[in-house]
Amino acid sequence: MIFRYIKLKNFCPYYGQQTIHFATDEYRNVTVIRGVNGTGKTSLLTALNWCLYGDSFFKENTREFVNRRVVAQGENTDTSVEIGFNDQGIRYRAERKCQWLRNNKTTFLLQRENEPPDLDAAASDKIESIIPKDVSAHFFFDGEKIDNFARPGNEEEIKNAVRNVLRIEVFERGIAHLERAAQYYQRELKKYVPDGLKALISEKEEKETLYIKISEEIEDNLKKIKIAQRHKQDIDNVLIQFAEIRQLFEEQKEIKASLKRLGDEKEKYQEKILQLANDGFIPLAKPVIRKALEILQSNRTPIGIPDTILNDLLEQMLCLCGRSIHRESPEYQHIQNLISQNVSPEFGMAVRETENCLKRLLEDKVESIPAEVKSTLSDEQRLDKDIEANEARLDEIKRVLEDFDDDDFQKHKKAQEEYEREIRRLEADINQGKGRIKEIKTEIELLDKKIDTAKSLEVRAERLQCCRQLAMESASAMKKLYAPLEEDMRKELEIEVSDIFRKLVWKENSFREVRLSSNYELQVIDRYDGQVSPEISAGEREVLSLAFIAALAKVAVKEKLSDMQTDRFPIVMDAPFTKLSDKPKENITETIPAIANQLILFVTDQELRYDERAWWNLESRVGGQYELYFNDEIGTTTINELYKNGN
Amino acid sequence: MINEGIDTSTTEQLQAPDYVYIDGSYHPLYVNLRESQEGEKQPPFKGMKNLFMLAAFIGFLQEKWVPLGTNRRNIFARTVFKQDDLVLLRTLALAKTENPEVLLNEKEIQSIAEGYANGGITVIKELVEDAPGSRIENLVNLLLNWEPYSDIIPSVQ
Repeated sequence: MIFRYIKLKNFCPYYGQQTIHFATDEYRNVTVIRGVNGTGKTSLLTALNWCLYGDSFFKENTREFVNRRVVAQGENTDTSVEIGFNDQGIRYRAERKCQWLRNNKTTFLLQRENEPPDLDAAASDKIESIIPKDVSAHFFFDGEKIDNFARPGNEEEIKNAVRNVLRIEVFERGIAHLERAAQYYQRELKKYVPDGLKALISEKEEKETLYIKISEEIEDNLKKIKIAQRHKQDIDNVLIQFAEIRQLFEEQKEIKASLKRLGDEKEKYQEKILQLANDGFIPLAKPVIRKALEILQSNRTPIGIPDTILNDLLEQMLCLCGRSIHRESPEYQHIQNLISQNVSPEFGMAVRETENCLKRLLEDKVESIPAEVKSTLSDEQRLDKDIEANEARLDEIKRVLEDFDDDDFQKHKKAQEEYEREIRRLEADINQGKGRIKEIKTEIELLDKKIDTAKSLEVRAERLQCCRQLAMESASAMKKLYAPLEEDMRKELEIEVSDIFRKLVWKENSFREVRLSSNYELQVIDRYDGQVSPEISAGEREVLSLAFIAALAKVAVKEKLSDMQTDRFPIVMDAPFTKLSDKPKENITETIPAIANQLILFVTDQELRYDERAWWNLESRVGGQYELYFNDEIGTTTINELYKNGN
Repeated sequence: MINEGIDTSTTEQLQAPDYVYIDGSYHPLYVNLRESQEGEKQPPFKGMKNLFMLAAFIGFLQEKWVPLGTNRRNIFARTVFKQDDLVLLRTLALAKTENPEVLLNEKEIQSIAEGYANGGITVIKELVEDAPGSRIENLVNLLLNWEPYSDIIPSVQ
């Protein structure tokens, strides 16, 4: 990121619109803004931060940025700061504006050249991706506070600067996120009972075994029935040889066949009656249907024809049935009435549909079902009488046969009855088995469904387990990576700080190196390998801080580890030389312009005099110079350009 | 005007729920009447819908409308209803409200039917489930006591 210009309008002491063009040349990259104390140097730094990040810094209310002359005169105007900058070869324009008198509303836009602007939140997001706010604080800084970095006990500030600028906190966030994810998956996993599927499968296996066992029993019983029937048939053949009773046997056989037929018929009637009884609510609805029809008809049932069709009919003078009508005819009046009823087509349709269906039910099922019940019941009664008569005759024959006086016959007759009993028992067992099989089949189907559900849950549980494992392994891998990365960064930074510090400080031989300890303390080491940081002067502390900032920028650009899009950093310094004596100042003015991509200095006339070496060092790299002039009469500051691009 | 007072609720608000509900305490009774008991070849009701519809009309004929409370549970999906069933449910709502506009409010229609079924199910419990003898015969006898069955079978009067 390189600043092209800043345009201020009615901002703090700057009345009206005033502009500073910053030096953007690769060599002549220094802009010097001179001003005595109280002319508005710090306000420029504030304007920069307010425009890009909306920060108030020293002001609690945006309204306090408004030029006091504007406020006093009650001018209906706005306050704004516009910044032009380049980043990665693209030209941008950022503008923050406050319509303080109208609605005190602040708006922010960021416009990429030849593209529509992003507004407010979208614009802020874009700025954040170019140079994040927490990073900017280390490049746009108040020089009077710069030595904070080098003060003992400020390790946390250094650590934050390293973490923010080099973006290594991304790792920490990533690790924390993955650990949270692993915990979430663990909680989810607890919802799945691991043995559920196993229990269901084993229950299904038990049911299937039972199913097979009962099926085999049925098969077995069927075989037994066939054997019993064969024996019974043999006995029947023997018994029929007793001529005296042959006729009775034949009659008995016929009656049994007839009873079987009548029994089947009775079952059909019973099934029909059950079906009719299940539809029995339809005839019960008769009084309700009549009442409903009365209600529909008494409410001038709408026909639900859309108004457009009715209007067309009136226009063409046609009745609903297609005949011609005239204005005085009742049909014309009827259609007009229909339109005035303004019934929705849905309502009309619902009414028609209900009416038609109810009429059909009345004509059809309401009367027919009871009639069918009646005839079926009467048929069943007739059938019962037949069955009764047949059974009576059968009993009579049985008695005659029992009384037949022949031992051999009685023996066979007894055996026949035993076989008949056995066949009935086996048939009952088969029916019971079939019923049980039907139940088991349903139970197995239900279990199949449960197993399918459990299987899908198990798949989900397996996936959750995988996700948890993955999250844990990733967190662990990131932890392993994080520590050496942080160490590498610290070492690299340490070398750069040391190198720059030795270039900036005047007692070059007295200080051997600067160390950045593992707990982020900046330590200056003297020629005797002793730590001298606590004893160094305020100026030396400032130089150390400057060296740290410059090194940070250099490493960030070099490593490109940052998630920021920018690969160039401007350094903006407000009152950087206040505490410095000539020699370190000279060193700084010689070194920093070569390290930073752009250097913007806000200085007092005493900080950087034209007749000193520090200025001479800097002069050849200055691409723009301005003077802030404060008019005490009207209380505003004017920005005057002293020279630009060396002209 | 017929459209006066038509509910201006949204279509969604007028739609019936996907399921038909009964009072939770009657659920075991519904299940019993739908299942064969020992010694029975078949249960008296072939489906929950038939039982619900009969309960609803008996509830109406006996003037027993008992709205469902909070203890409710679904008994079958609304898709089980055939067109004739839905129209018959409309008659209950029409008869109760005496307002044709109720035809556009399926939610209200179902709610009224559920209230009548909630009242009518007690009659079925008493005369079919709890009465001695075959439950199917009890059901037939229950029907025969009402018009129009009683009109054509004088002997059961």
